[in-house]
Amino acid sequence: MHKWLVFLHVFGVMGFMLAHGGTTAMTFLLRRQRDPDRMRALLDLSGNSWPAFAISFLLLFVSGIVAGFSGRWWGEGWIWTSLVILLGMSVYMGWASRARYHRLRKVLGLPYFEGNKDQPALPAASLEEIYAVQATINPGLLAVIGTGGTFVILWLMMFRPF
Amino acid sequence: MYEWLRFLHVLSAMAYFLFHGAVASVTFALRREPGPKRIDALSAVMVLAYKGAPIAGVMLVLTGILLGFLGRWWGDRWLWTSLGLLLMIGVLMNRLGKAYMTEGFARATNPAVQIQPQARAGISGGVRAFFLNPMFFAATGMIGLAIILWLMMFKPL
Repeated sequence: MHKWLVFLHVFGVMGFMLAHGGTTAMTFLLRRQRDPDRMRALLDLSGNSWPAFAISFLLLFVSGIVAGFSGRWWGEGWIWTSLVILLGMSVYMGWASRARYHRLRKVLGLPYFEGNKDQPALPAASLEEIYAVQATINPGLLAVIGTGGTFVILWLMMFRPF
Repeated sequence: MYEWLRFLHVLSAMAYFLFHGAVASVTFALRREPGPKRIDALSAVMVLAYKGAPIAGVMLVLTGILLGFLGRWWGDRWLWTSLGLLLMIGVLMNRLGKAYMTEGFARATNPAVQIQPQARAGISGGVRAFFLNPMFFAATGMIGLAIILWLMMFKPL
């Protein structure tokens, strides 16, 4: 039973990475684009992977929590540390997505998310306004947090140092 | 040493799936018949993914081979089965994926390029639609991944 839970957890992680690929590529390529249509294509690429992203995250999260009980790991520091890092990363990424990418979706005339609900598309803003919002995106910081956090969580789970 | 190699193996698998996920998202985006400008952005995604995926793939295979020696598993059938399965899926996905991508990009960049109506009709059209389909790629990839993961974690053979 425990081994199957770990299997589901690892499968969920791999699915999550697959579902996250489009978003990661979008993060790096968006800053270089000057054409609004290309920006829309990248943002849609990321937005369309949301269902797979949510399902795989749920699978890895729930199987990880249950595996923590079946493996009797909840008394150990590494599992709590990984959980805190995972939640911290998720909160930051979610905030960054709303503050930056959904703002960009709004000025590009795409449906966006604001005030905890989906909003319909508005007319596109001027190019100056689009570029101003685009300039606030910092892919380097997201990459450092995403890669660094993943690296540390994986190390904690595989080496269980404390 | 062994534990660090295993760590690198899992890390490179994660990186490989991340790059591969970018390609997968493009295959789904092509279904929506993007225009010429949107296709430029999708091409940029493919270029980025094809830069990183081979590096992660080589790391994944190399660390896997080394782990096979360190763990003395080359005499076990589960390792050969997973390697064979990985190669089979790789060849299949590469051939079908390339055909699908070439057709999708050609159609999007040049509206004059259309699939001949006879290619869409009949049994061959049905077979083509079944195999040259992002859902087929996704299902094959996920089932293959599940079997390889099962072989590696449970070592049943």
